Amino acid sequence: MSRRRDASFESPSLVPMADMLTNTVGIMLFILIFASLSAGGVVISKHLPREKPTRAIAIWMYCSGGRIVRFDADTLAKQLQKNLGEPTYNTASDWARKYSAQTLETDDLQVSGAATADYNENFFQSSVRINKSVAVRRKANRGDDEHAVATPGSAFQTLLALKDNKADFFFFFVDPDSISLFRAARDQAAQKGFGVGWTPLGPGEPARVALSGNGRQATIQ
Amino acid sequence: MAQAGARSAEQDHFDLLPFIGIMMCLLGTLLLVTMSMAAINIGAGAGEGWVPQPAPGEQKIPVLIEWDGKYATWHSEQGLRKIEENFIEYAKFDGQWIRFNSDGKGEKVTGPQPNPLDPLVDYLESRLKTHYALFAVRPAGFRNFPRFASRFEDRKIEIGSEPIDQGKHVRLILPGDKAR
Repeated sequence: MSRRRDASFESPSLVPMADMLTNTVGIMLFILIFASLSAGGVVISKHLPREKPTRAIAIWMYCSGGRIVRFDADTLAKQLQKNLGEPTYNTASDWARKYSAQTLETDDLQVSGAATADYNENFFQSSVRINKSVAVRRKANRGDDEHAVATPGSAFQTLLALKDNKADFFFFFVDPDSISLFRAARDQAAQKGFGVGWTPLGPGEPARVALSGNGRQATIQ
Repeated sequence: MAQAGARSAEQDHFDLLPFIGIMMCLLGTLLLVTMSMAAINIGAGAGEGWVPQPAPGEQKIPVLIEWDGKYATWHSEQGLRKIEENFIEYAKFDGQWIRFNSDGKGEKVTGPQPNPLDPLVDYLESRLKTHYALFAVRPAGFRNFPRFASRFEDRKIEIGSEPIDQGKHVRLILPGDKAR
């Protein structure tokens, strides 16, 4: 009985299974090598930026906390100083101190002023120069996020449609937490033919725009 | 006889399940390795190779400098050179040299001392018409980048800048320079 059972049992060959396994392993290794080689050569074509001065009018954008807001530095400065009157040589220091104490809030922004009066006195003439700037912070949950900047009808898209790419350019203040947002907004602006520039900010730092004095000129890249 | 026949059929059956299990485990492992390699190379850990696309009339050669807030990594022809920025600068006022320390305070000195960044600045200054400094600015370097860049701007060196993620590798790929 036992002998008959042994005779009827044919041990299946493992060769097809081994063949299938080695084929699969070989194909996977091939895919792995191919993926590694091709991925190692990934490059990103970039218009590598170089700063250039421009005569276009800056549209100031502030990117922080993953959201972007626009601000008009000149208008904000006028609002900050509307009750201060015009500074004179004799009142410049006092005017600068009062301007620096001014704050205001808009729907999207918290704004503060900063100013110093630099006197220049010599034998022939005396003069004073007021270095004036505005500092802007974004209010919580205000502004467009990364998705919205590419969405028709958003504040950013509306702004792009309203402005003239020959006369205006976009300048971005970028917090470290909003790099991808900045890239998305910059791409949108560049696609519409606008010049763009940017400057980095420290974490939580406000955007500062110098309106007179020794401020650094905004450039496009 | 019927029992003996059933036992014989069971013994003839060869169970493939363990082999399929081994094969699936192997496939899963290899897939994991493949996906990991792909993620390292093109995903979150991917590096960037920047290829210049000069606009018409722009023929200046970019010199890539990574900035992380403390170190400038110069992608020079001899390879990477990591240089610490000490934020010490010298200026001459009315014939007197003033040294501005890292805290911004100035003090009178007899003359300027060499700075670790001098080779880089000198290299670019001697090539003002053909080269410009291209900064890859990491988030850690955002706060003090304008001050770092002013060292170059003060010497009339043209600059450009582009943000890059903190841990991401970057390299410049100039025409005919695939491996750089």
